[in-house]
Amino acid sequence: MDNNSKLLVLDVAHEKPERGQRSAVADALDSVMASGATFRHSSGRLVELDVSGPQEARITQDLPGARVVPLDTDVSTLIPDLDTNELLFLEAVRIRNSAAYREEKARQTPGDSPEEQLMFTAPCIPGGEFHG
Amino acid sequence: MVNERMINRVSAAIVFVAGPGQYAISAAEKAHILAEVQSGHGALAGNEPRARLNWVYSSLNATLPTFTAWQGANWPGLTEPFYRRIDDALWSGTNQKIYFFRGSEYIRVDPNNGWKADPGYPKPIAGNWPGFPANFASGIDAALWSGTTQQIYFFKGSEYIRVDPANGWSVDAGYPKQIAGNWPGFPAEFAAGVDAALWSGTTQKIYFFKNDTYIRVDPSNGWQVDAGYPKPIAGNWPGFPDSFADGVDGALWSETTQKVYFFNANRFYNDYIRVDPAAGWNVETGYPKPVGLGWDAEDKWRDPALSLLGFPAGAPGFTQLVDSVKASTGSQYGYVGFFTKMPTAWFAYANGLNSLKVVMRETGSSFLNWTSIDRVYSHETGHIFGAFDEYTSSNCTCTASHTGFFTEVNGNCQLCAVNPTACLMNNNVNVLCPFTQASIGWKAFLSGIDAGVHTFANNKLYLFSDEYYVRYTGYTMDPEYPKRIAGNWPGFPAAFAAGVDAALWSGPTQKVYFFKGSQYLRVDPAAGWAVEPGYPKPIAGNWPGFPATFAAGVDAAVWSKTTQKIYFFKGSQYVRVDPAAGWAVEAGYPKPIAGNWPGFGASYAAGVDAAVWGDPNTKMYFFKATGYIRVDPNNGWNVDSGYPNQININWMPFPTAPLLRDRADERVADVREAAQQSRDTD
Repeated sequence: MDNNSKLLVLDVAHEKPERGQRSAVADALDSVMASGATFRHSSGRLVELDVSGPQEARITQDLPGARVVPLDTDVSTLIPDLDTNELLFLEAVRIRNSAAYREEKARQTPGDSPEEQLMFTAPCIPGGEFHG
Repeated sequence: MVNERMINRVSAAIVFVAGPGQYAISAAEKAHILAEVQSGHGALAGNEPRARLNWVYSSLNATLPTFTAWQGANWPGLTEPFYRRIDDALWSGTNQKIYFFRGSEYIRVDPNNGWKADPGYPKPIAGNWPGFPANFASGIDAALWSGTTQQIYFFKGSEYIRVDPANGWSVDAGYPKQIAGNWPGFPAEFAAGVDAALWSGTTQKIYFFKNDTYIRVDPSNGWQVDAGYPKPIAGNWPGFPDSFADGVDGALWSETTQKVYFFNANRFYNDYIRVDPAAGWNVETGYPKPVGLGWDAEDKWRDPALSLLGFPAGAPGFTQLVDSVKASTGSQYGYVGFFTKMPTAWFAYANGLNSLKVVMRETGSSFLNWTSIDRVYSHETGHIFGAFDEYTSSNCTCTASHTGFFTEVNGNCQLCAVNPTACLMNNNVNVLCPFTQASIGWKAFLSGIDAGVHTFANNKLYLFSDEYYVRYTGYTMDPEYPKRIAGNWPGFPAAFAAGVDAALWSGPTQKVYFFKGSQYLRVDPAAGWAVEPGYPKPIAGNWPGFPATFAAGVDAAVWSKTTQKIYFFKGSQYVRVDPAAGWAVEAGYPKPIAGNWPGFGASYAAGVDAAVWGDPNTKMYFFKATGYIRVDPNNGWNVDSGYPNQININWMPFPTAPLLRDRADERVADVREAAQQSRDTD
C-alpha cells in the first residue's frame, strides 16, 4: 500500500437507524467534509481519506474517539464489532490498494475486455437509448 | 431527489443477489466486486475534484433459498443460448414435435406436453442426426419440414441435405447437394443460402426467407418458385414488426395450433411472433414476445431479493431501498447496483437516465474473472447521472437532448459527431469529455459563482458560472436553467459569453452592466436585452476614479436599492460609486472590506466572488467559493446569523466544500471586525 491514503475509524453509535432516519455516521461524514480532507470511499464507521496534519487534528477534535490509521491496520483490534458491510469494505480497500491490483489495472486497456467488447454491441438501457 | 448532478455524497448500495449452486457468490467475489466498484467510482471522482464526489457504500446480501432459472419463459425448458438466438426451427409431422437448432446443438419440444422441452436436451447434432456432414453438424442455416414429402430439409450455405424420418432419420444418399439447380427458379441470392424455411400446412407451400425478402415454392408445381417472387417481407406479411420485416432467424408451422411461428433475435434475446393463417395471416395481438424472458428476467430474482431485504417488489422496492440508505448516510444522491449470476436480458445495464438502478450479471462461473467491472460500472453510473451512450451500436443521435441539471445534446455520439472523442460513455476510457461533463452536471457551477445580478426590469435574479447562467423568480430557479450565455444574451462578445467576472444592475439607468477583465459592456433590457452599440469598453477612463487595480478587473459588483449606490469589490477592497455624482468613486475609497462590512468572516473579507441584491427580501448576498452570506442593509448591514451557508440546496444542487468560516478564528475575527466597523456601509 504505497499511496497516501489512510483509514479513518469512527467511534460512533453503530445502531442501524430506523428507515428514513439519519445515522450518526452521516453526521460524522459531515465533520470529515468540513475538515477539508479528501475522501472518496466510506462504509459504516470506516472512511478512506487523504488527510493533512491539520485536517487530521480537526477531525479527531471534532469526532471524539476517531482515529486515523494506516490502511493496513488491523481494524478489528480497534472495532471488535465490525459488521459484514464494514469487513467487506476493508477487504475491498485492501485489494484496491494492493500492488498487484494496481499493476493489473495499469496493464488493462479501457474498452478491450471481453465484457466491454460485448457491452459495445448494444445499448445498455432497456428498450433503447432513453427509455427507463 | 433525482440523480441530477454527480456531486457530493452519493449513497452506493450494492446488493449481492445469490442463490444455491451456480448462483452462489463467494466472499472473495464480493470483495472483488466492491474493489472494482470503488476503483471505478474513484476514477470518476478523480476526473473532477471540484465535484466533491464521495461514495458511501452499503453492501447488502440477499441469498434466495431456491431459484429456478427462466421460470415463466414462454417456451419452457429451453436453455439460455436458445433464449438468446436460434438458427432455425421446424415442426416434424412424423412425431408432432418441434426442433430448435442453434450452433451444433438442438432442443426438441413437445407441444403435446405443455410445449415443454423434452428431457435431456440440448443434444449435439453430431451423433443424433445420422449422416449429417460435419459442416451441417456444426450448425445449420435453415430447417424445413415438407408435408408434401414427409421429409426434412436442412440448408447450410449453398448446400442442402434431406432427412427421411421414415428411414431412421438418416440423411438420404447423395446429399449434400447444391441448392442451385435442384430448387428450380431460386434467385441467385437464395441459392447462395437462406435464413429460414417454412412449410405451411394451410397453403401446402414452402417459404424461404433471405434478409428482408422471401420466395414461395409450390411443391405441387414441380417445386417451382411461384411467379412474382422474391417479394419484400414488409407489406406482404401483415403486422410484422420492423425487426421481423428486416429478416427472420427461423420459422415453423405448428400442426397443433395451425399457426405459423417466426423467430428473430433482437439485440438482447430471442423474440417470436405468431401468425394466424385463418385470420388473414396477421400477426396475433400481443406479439412479439420473448422466447424465454425479456427484461422481466430481472424481476424473477430481484423482487424476491427485495422481499428478503424488507422492501416491496418492483420500482417502489428499489426506490425505497435507495431512499433508505440515502437517508441513513446523509447522502444527497443514491442508487443501487444489483450483482447476480441469475438470468437477465443483458449483462450490464442501467434502468434509465438519471435513474436509480444498475444491474450487473456474471454469465461465466465467477465474478473474479470479470476484471473490467470498474469501467463498466462507471459507465452505467454515468447513465444514473444522466449521461448518454455514445458508442455506435447504442443508436445514439447527436440531436437528442436530455435535461439533467444542464440541458445538452449528445454531441459525442459516434454515429454523427464530426470528431467523436474518447470518453467514458464512448469507449470506457477514464475521461469525461465535455458532453458527458454536461450530462452529469459538471460543466459549470462547481466551485463558485462568478457573478450575480437582480434585474429590476423583470424582477429576476441571475447567477453566472463559466459559460452558463441560471435565473430565479423570487428565490426559485426557473425551469430549463442553466442556459448558456451565448445565444441568450444578444450581442455578447465571445469573451463575455465564455464567462463574466461581475454583473451589475443600475437603478438610475435601468441597465445591466457586465464586467470581464478590464472591459465592461452594457445591456439595455428595454431594447431586447441586447448589448448596446460601442461596447465592450475599457473600465479605465469610463468609470471615473477607479483605482488601477479595479480598472484591471473587478470581482463583484452590486447596486444597493437602499443607498442607490454601487459597490465594486476587488480582492480585499471595495469602492463605492455614486451615480448621482457623476458615477465617480467616492472619496476615501478604496477601503478594506474588513472592518467596513460587519460580520464578514476573514475569508469573505479577503475577497468575494459575487454580490447580488435580493429584492424579494431586500437583502444582499455575497458568494465565496461554495458558500454565501446574507447581509441585511436594514439591520446595520450585518451578516445575518446562520451564515455562511452552502450554495447547495439553498440555491441549486452545488458541490459542498468546507464553508469558509475558519471556525478556529472566525469567532475571534467577528468580534474584532464588529469592534472596528464603521458606519460607512450604511
